[in-house]
Amino acid sequence: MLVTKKNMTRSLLCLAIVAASHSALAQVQGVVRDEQGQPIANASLDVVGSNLQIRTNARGEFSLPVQTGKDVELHVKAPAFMHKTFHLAQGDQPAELVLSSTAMEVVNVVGLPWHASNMESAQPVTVLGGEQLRDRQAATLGETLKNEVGVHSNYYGPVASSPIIRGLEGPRVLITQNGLDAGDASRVGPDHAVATEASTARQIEILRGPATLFYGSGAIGGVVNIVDDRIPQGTDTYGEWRLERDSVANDKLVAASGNTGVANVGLHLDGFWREADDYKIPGAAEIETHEEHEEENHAEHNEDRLANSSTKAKGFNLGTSYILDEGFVGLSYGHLERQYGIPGHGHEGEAVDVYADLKQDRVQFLSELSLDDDWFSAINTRFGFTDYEHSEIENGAIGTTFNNESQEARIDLFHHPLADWRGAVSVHYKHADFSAIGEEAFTPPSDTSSVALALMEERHFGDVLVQLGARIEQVKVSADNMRVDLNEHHHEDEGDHHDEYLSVFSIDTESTPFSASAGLVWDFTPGYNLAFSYTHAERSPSAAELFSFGPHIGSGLYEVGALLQVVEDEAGEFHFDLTRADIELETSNNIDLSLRKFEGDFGFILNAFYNSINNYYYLTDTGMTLEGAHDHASESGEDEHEDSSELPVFIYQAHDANLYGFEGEIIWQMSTPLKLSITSDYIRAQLDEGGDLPRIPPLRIGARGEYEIGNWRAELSGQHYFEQDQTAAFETNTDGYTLIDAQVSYLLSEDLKIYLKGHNLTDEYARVHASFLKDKAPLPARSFAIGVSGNF
Amino acid sequence: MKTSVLPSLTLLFVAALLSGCGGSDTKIVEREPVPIEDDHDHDDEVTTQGRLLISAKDQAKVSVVDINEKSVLHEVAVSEAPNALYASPNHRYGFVVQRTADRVDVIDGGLWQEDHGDHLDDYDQPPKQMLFSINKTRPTHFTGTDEQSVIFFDGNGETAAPASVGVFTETDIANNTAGTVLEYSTHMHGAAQGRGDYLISTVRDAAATSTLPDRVAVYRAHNGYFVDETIFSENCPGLHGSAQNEKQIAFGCTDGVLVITQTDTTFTAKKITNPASFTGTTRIGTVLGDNAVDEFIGIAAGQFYAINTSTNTITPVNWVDASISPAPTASSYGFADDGEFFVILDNQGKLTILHSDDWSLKARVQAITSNITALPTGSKFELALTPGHFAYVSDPITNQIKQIHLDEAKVNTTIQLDFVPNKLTWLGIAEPTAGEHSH
Repeated sequence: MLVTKKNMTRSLLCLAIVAASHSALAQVQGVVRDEQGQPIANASLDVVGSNLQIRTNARGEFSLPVQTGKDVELHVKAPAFMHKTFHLAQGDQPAELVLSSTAMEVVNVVGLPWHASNMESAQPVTVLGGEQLRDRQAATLGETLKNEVGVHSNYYGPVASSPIIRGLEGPRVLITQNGLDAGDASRVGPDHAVATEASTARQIEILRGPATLFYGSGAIGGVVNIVDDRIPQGTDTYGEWRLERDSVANDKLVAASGNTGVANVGLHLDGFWREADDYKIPGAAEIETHEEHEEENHAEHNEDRLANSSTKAKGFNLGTSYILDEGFVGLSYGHLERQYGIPGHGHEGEAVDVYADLKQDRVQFLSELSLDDDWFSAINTRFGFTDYEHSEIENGAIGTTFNNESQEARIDLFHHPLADWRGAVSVHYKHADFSAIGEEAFTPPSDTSSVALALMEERHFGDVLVQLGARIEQVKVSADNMRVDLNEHHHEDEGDHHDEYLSVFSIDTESTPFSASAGLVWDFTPGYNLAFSYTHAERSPSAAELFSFGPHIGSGLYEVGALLQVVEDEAGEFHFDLTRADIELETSNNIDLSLRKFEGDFGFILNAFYNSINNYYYLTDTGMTLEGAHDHASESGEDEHEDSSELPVFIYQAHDANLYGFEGEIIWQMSTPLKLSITSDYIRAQLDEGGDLPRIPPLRIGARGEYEIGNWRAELSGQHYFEQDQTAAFETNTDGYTLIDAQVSYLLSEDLKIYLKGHNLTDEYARVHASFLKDKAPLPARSFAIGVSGNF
Repeated sequence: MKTSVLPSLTLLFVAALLSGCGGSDTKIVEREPVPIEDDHDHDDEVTTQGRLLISAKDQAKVSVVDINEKSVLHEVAVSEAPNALYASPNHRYGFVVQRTADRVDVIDGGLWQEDHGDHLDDYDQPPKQMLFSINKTRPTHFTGTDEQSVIFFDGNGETAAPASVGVFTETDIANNTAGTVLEYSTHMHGAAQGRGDYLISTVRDAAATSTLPDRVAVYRAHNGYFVDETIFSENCPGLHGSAQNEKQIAFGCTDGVLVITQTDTTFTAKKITNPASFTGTTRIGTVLGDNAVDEFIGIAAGQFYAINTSTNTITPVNWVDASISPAPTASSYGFADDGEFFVILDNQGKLTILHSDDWSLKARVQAITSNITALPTGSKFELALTPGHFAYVSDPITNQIKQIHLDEAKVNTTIQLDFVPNKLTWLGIAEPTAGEHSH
């Protein structure tokens, strides 16, 4: 299946905006055909550099108003065909535009100033939409995307997994909702869930490699953008619903969304509810050493389920928009609640009940308008306000509450082609007020704001598309109450803090990250292209990376920010001191090379990348331990308190690192019903001074067979993860494993489908190298899900 | 035309260069330092008043309630509605006795002190259920010493399960080890008193018809078991009730009180016979003692008696307010405030505080002010005593716990629950160091 039914439905609703009548308008006319000369009905034609979009009629014909005397560039797309860009001069008409059929799934990224799809852009892009998204969706974003090429899950149990893009995660991967920051605390800790929902999304877009130009200086590793229809772009009535039940944790999911309209007003409502018990696991949760096992053979381990891995979540979005001739203006409100266990707690078999309770309210304003102006053709405006809160609750008591209030505004102004350059200027403002209160308040309250100016331009030179962009940003991070213990402690004084004080600092950092990128896409022979891009990107380290000082239950570490350093005195005792140096920006110089074949029954995308990062901030083990709520340092091993609340001390340090790897995807439509695909990806991440970075996913090879006949569709897929033996200090090797999934669905009617899914069919007992909880939380056991879905 | 876009790109690059292109600037201002707060998870400077382990009426669960916060910190499901709750010697752990389920569970109240030689460190952790539990037949009487918790398991004649005694230290509980055990060959409704390495426990003739024992023996710990039984020749027919103080152990018998005196490793027995005022079947069936008090308290037919082991006399203790009619009866009682007081809670919700040096009245406090006729069937007012000035009284009518300041003889505060309280015991640190110095 190429472009899915859902997408078609969706596309049908897409707006056909015809610019308001204007004296200087002329018509461009033509027809869209396939290679056999058959007209393609309902093909979509976008005018590059504007918000204008039209569709062909049943005879494949179209007619388009353009400014007199100006050429036009049309990006033409139709399901099962390769997208193609045509350059039309006004004398060329009636134009005949020919599209080639393809086995590849081609989906556009929405909301970028230039056209980006997995096949056509200089930077590697993946879009997961339609039925494919519905098939993969899981309770967390990380698990939803983990089978995409170049994307892994950091698997903080099945409850709070975030995506890892090419080995990068946390503050380097930006998560956005309709192009605006997700506004949660998921970038601060691996145990903090991403506050978005896949079951009501229309598509999820993944930009691999630095995508800082589009979304901000944080996106040095990539961007995941979750797109939904919370702000309707039309007044048509359509929607979908789904009921699903899975055996592995008695997961229950109900999700529905619908759009409609009254006169010029579009309306949207969606909602979901999901609940899951603790997950079944195929073996013991924790890796035990031999001695531990001897000592504890009478301890009551619950071997069969992963403790603290249950989830309850619900949410809704409602939105409305006013549809104008020139576009739309809309507003939405969303509310999300999620309670999820935080696995990996409990010492020596004791049951510790730990969970997080998350709430988010979100208001978005979106507008896309065509302009009747000599210089500018369109303006896209986005505003977001997010109020986020989550509490971590241990044995019934609130340990820590994280708050994040954020505001964001972005305005993209598209200009008319200038010397055939098409593009937009973007102004972007972001502000986040973050606080953590409680035992685990390892970061002080901080305030982060940024203002950015970006320019993105593209131009065709014959067979070559050139894409250029630059962004300059000013980032201010301040924390006016950073409390740290810089005292020199000695063992004799342990616990005796007479007359000792915490130092308090007010810190303001200001930096000016600059990013630029240049890319080429060369259609060197029909049906193929070669893409090259170079990106220089700079990132200002986040508040957590700079200011952390304290125990973080989620990671099980005592985290210390890069503003501090460890000092050893003559007696061999350690204490902390301020580094008192300016903050170095993390700087990435990234090269991407892609070769794609897209026409016919056989296609592929092969990417290779090399990313050299200066001042890569990461948590390194100091070899020290600190008591969870105690402020004295001691060398591990020598400690008198053999207390379970002792945490290893990890400090953020900046070192130069190199990441490189490849991604490959081969698709073969063997016959009309049968499609085979093979995927693989590999990342190597090394420090310049020697040594590997921690939690880097291993080499992976996957295969998938899809068979579709009549109302039946079946899919069998397998992913083999190789052993990861390139490990950082204090890390252990992780065994390879193979996961087999299968799925069968039957269309009861055009609008109603039932399906059966099986995950981990061989009941493989596997651990995820990229997980902070590798030793504590294996992947879920074999499971079966049954569901029914419909649309209208 | 060509010139209009490229300059803007150029401009952007120039702007970047001018601004230092990726430069950064950090300003750090040191502010007034703050004293290091107590480092063992005290969220505030307030000294903890401890926690209450409370069972809910007719429910198989116990709750740990924080007294400062007046809120439930933790709930634990157990096998059946507990018969009794007891605290370990240092009040860190709570024992949940479930007699017919043949099970004792242990809850860590989360508050304890660690001795660092020159100072004590207070710990304040969330409460939790311990792995430690005991599955033995009919756990019934619980007694304690400064270091030991002693549980007498009656066994069951119907199933021929023999009685046993378990002696547990707080280390046994923390490490989930088996403690020291006395195994009997027959069942009995017995009593045991720990004395360090020694255990004074009851003996019953397997052929006897009564489940009550009639002899007492001394045992010595060896490799996890109590061995070397020495039976005292002085017998104690219908033995029920036992207590100890610093030097002596007392058992209630139908004909008097059997008193065992320890001199180093030597134990001697004597009998204080019932006074002439005891008629019919009147006998002492409950004995209470405190390390700081020389006399024992015995209860016979609902009356309190002082047992003086020097003069070998048993004399009534007058605690009842004669002006009250009908006369109150005792619901719950015990030594409090390190033995300074003996406290009796009666069925009218009044707390009578006696000086334990001469059993004179210190004060009476009307702990319960609700309409006592509304007391639910099967409920009574319960008392939890602490090593300090406070006592706690349950009110199953309003689902409240009253905190009584014994020295000031007044109701200090009220904790509202959302369940009907049944049994309760206090867990916490007798003398918290937190607040005295901030470390």
